[in-house]
Amino acid sequence: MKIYAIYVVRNNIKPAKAIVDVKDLASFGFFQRSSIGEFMTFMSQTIAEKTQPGQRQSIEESNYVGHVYARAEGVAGVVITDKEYPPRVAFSLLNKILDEFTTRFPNNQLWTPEQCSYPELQQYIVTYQDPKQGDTIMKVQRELDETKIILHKTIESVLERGEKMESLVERSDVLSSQSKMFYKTAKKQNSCCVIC
Amino acid sequence: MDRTAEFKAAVNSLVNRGHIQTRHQPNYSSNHPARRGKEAAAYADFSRLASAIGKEIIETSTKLDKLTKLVKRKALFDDRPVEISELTYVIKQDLSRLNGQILALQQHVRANAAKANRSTRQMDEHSTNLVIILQSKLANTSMGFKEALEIRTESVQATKKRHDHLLQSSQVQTGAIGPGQGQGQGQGHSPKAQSQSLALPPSSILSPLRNTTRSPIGLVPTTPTPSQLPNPYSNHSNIPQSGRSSPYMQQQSSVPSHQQQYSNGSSDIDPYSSSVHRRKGGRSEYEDDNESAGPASMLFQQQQQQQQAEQYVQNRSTAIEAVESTLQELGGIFQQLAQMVAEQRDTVQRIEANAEDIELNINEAQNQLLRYYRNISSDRWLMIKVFLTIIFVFLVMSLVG
Repeated sequence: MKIYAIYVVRNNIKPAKAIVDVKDLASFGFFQRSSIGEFMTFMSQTIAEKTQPGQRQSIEESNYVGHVYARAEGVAGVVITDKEYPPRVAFSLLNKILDEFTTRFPNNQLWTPEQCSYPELQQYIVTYQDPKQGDTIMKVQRELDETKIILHKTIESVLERGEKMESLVERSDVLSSQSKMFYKTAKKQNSCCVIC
Repeated sequence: MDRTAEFKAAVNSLVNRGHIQTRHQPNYSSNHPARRGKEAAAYADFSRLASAIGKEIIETSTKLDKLTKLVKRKALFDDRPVEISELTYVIKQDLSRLNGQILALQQHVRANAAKANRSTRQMDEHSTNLVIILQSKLANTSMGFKEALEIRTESVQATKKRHDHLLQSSQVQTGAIGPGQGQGQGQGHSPKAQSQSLALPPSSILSPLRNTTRSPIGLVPTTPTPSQLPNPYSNHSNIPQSGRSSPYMQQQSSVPSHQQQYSNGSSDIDPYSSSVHRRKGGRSEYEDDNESAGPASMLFQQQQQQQQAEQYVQNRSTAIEAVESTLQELGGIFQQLAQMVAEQRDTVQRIEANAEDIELNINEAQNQLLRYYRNISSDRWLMIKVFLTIIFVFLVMSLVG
C-alpha cells in the first residue's frame, strides 16, 4: 500500500497544468523513475481535466490508481497510489491538502509553480504511506483496538486475582479454626485436672 | 321590513365610488362583503383590490379542484398528462401572482395605517383582518395544490411500476420487432437502449426522486440529473412502437422538477421554467450525441459518477460506524471489569472478618497461656505438694524394695 505521487492541478484551463507535486518513486528502478514520473504527471493532468468540480473519481490504469477530487475554485488534487490503498484515506488526504492549498493561495493569479510553495506535501506523502498512520479515522480505530487488547489482559488478571482471593479466604478460614482450637486448649490447661 | 334607508346608503356609496374609480370596476365590486360602514376613497381602492384577489383565489381553487379530480383518476391509459401539466403550470402562476398581490395589498394597508388618525382605526383593523383572511385562503389553496402534486407523483410511480412489469414480459418480442422497424442508425440503437434503459429506470427514477426529497443541500449535485433523465425518455418518444410509454416518461421527467421545487420550499416559477429549458437543452444534446455515444453509455457514466460519490460517503460512514461499535464494545468491557471487581469485594470482606477472628483467638490463647505460666511459676505450694507426693512414692518403693 503505497502512495506514488501527490499533485495539485489547476483544471480551469485546458490543458490542465500541475501547480505543485511531490513524488515518491523509490520503489522503482533508478532508470525508470523519470519516465514513470512523466507518465504520472500526464495522467494526473488528464484526469483532472475530465473531472467536474465537486466530484471525486478513482481511475485505474495498468497497476496504478489515481484518485482525483476537483474543487469548485478550479483546482483539483490527484493522488496516485497502488491498487490496495484504501480510497477513502486518499480522498480524506485530498480534502486536507486542497483545503490548505486554497486557504493559502486563494488568488487565481498565484497558481503557478514558481509562486506556490507547499513543502508540507513532502511530509504528507511520508506520513500517509501507511494509511493507518495518516488517516484520523484509522488512527482512532487502531488506538481503540489496542485499548481493547489491554482491557482483555486486564480482565484476565482480574480473574486471576479472584482465584487468589478464594484461596486466601479458605486459608484464613482454616487459620481461624486452628486458632480457636489453640485457645480452647490453652484454656483447658488452666482448669483443674492437673494430673489426668 | 323597510330597508330603503340601507338601499339609499348603498346607492350613495356607489355614487361616491363611481367618482373615484373608472366606470368598469363597480360592476363586480358591488357584491363584495367588505363594503360596509364608512367608505373613504382609499378604502374603496383597497376593497376593490381585495375583492379582485378574492375572486382570483376562488378561480384558482376551482382549477385546483379540477386538477385533483384529474389526478385521482386511476385509469392506466387515459391519463391526460398534457392537461395536468398545463393546469399545474397555470395554478402555479396564479398562486405566485396572488401572493404578490396580497403582499402589495398588505403594504398598502400598512402605508395607510402609518398616517392613521382615530377615525380610520376601525377601517385599518378591518383591512388588516381582510388581508389576513386572504392570506389564509391562499395558504389553504397552496396546501391543496401540494397535496394534489403528491398524489400525482405517487400515481405516476405506481403506473410506472405496473408498466415495467407489463413491458418486461413482452420485452423479447419488442426487441425482435425493433431492428425490423429501424429507421436509420439512431433508431437502430434504440431497442438496445430501450431494453437497457428499461432495465435501469427503477433505480434511476427512484434515485433522483429520492435525492430531491432530501435536504436542499442535496439538491446541488442532483440537478444535472433531471436534464439527463429525459434522454432515454425522449428516445422513447422517437419510437412509434412504444407510443404508449412516452406520456408516462415525459410525466416522469416533469415530476422530478415538481418535487425539486417543492423540496426547495418556494413556489417560484423560475426553477420550473429553468428545468423546462434544461429538458429541451438535454434533448438537443442527445440528438447531437446520437451518432457518437448513444444514450446508454451516458446513463451508465452518470450512474457511475453518482455511485462513486455515494461510495466515498458510504465508505466513510462505514468506517465511522466501525469506530462507534468498537467504542461500544469497549464500554461493555469496562462495565464487565467493574462488575468483577465489585464481586470480589465480598470475598475481601470475608477474608478481613476471618483475619480479625484469628487475631482475637490468638490473643485470648496467649492470655490463657500467660495465666497458666503465672500459675505455675507463682504457685509453690502446689509444687511442694507434688514433690512431697513423689518423695513419698519413692520412699515407699525403696522400703518395699
